[in-house]
Amino acid sequence: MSIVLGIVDYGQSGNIKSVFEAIAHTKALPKVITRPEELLKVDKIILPGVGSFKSAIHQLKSKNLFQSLIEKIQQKPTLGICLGMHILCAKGFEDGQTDGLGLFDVTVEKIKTQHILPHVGFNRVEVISNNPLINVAEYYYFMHSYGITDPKYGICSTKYNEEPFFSGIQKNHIFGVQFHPEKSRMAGLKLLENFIDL
Amino acid sequence: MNTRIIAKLDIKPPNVVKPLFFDGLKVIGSPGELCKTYYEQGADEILYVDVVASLYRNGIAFGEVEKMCHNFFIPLGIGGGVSSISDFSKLLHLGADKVIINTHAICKDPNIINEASKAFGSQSVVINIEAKAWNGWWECYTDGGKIRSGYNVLTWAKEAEERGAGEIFLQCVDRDGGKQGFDLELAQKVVQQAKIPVVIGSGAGNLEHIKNLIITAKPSGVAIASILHNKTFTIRDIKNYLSTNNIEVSP
Repeated sequence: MSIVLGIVDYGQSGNIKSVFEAIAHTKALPKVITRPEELLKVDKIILPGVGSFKSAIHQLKSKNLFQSLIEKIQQKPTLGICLGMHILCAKGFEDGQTDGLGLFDVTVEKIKTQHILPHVGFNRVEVISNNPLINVAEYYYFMHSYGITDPKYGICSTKYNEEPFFSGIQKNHIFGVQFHPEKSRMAGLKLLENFIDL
Repeated sequence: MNTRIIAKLDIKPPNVVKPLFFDGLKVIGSPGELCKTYYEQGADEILYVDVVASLYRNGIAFGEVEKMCHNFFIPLGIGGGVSSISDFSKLLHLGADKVIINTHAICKDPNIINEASKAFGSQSVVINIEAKAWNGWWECYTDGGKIRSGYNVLTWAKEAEERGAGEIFLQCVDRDGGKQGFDLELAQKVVQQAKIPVVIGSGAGNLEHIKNLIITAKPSGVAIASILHNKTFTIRDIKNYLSTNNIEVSP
């Protein structure tokens, strides 16, 4: 039996298809989740990455996914990608202040830099602690203005014109990455394989 | 931060075409195959712009978009004929990572930029500027470089940024497909003014053109079409050349 990965569809936003295509390229089976009961049928959960914090949370609530995600993520390996990682955190400050799912008790804030934002393009990710997802420095694709600078859960870091932030976080079986593995060539697919193999 | 090397596909569904100065379309191949080719060559991104959708008022060919989003794992920006929040949402669901908009935002409803960046995040909203040089200023064109808007490029770039656009894709009506080099003066002005990433297209005819553009204007990315389509250079050739000239690119 293949491992089934549930990709949560927030509704209006989310680059669902890109994540779906990348998972379909691995040995796992992708499944799009739009209703709470569908979370019961998947082995692992992916929160994909495009959208804004406020509207993603609003949409999860309107689909009754907010509370069930908090429960199910505590039971099933979960990977948040970019915005998906952000909403796993306690609070976001994009377009006002919004409470997230709260699985990581850190906040998501605008990247502090003198340079242009969003930070867009392939950038180097350095491993800072042993983890099952990434074991060697690689280039992954970034596309964001907000990020995590609290070191509490950091497993890897990235510099954007000298300003470092945490490009990956982990708490037990819950992971978040700031970059887009589904858009990061073979290195990204490898990371997804590692998540599937957990 | 390294400079992104981006493959640009001009689309007249179902084909990739290459216009000369936004006119006279020559068929190049299928979008799906070319995306895969440029992905394998090491492109950092692909920009897919339907150059007839706005002009013919027939909207986006969603079926064509759906057919091609397979087997390449780099970001894809899609535009041409985008005119509603629902178009943004559909394109993101079909495989776009960002959505490119020009005509509708400038001619009808600039507020769509505010709404889209609120709903999908700034990073998903790319403003396509089709600039035409006049004596001492540049004008934004619309409908695939066909129609004058009256807007000054620098004014519009600033307004679009203030409304929440996350990126500017600057093309040049007088240069596109001409392979005679980029409009360096315009590129410099737009990049200097912007606080968001700017990708410059229209004009790459050889490797020096690309190097000169990066050194002079320091854009976030360079969009390349003709010299890739006619196989004069591959993305790998371009990246190798830039690296040997001390310009940082991703591997």
